[in-house]
Amino acid sequence: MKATVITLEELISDVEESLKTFNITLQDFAAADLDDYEDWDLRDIWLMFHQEVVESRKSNAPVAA
Amino acid sequence: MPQSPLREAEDFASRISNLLNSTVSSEVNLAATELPNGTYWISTNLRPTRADLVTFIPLVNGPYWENAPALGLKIYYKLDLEPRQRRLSASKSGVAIYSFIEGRRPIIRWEYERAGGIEPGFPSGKSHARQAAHVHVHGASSEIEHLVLNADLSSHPKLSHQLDKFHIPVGGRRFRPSLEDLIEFFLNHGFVSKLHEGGQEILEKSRNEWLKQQLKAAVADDIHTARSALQELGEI
Repeated sequence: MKATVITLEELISDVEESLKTFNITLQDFAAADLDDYEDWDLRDIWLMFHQEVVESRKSNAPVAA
Repeated sequence: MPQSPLREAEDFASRISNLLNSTVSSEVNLAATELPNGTYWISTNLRPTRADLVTFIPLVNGPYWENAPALGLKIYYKLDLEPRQRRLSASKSGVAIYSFIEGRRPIIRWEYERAGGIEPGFPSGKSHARQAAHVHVHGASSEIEHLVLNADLSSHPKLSHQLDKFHIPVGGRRFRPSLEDLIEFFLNHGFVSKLHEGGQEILEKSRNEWLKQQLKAAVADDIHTARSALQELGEI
């Protein structure tokens, strides 16, 4: 099966949609540690995409003057 | 000439699908998703990056409940170029077996995060309290509960009484169990009653390939010891 290509923005948007199921914002998710979450589906999201979310937020942070 | 990473990721997804279809499931058709940062996702999610939209791989030779397989697998792999190698390898993976009897619940979860362990090499910049490859067993352990309730744990504040919170180490980065090992475990412990016809041969061939890849990676990790071992064997 052929691979599909997505952008980092699409990935982050997908993660945000996934987090809505748990009433969690991207900001809270980025600051959270794995053991902050009990739900195993939510822990899966953390294990899979937390690194990408954190890196994305770092790259989008405003540069200090 | 080495394959392109994209082709490698597609082949990996195809290999995993074929292994599952040849042994414990059917109609599995995993696909790779490429990200611009050179990583590839392969998973049982309807869309690999929508972790809430999960489809499970049914164990069709296992027990049934309400006319459907009672057990299923949730699988994901993140592939990227390992710095010392010129080929894709898994930087994260997860295989979990779930029960669908009266709701969905995990039974056992095998997880791996290359840069997520306390072992040296591949530091992630974060502190970890687990090995890179580990397994979670869901259930209750009266022995662990007894320990936590009765022992002085002031120097171990993180010790949980919940068995599923334990990160039980399984072989490290290079010698962790393969998907083939897990399929064999499902067979040997009654999660499935049999493999499909010819499945054992396909499983063993696939596992041999995995072991060779892991051995190559282990040699790259420690060339000095690998050379010494070959010298001891009179091979060089």
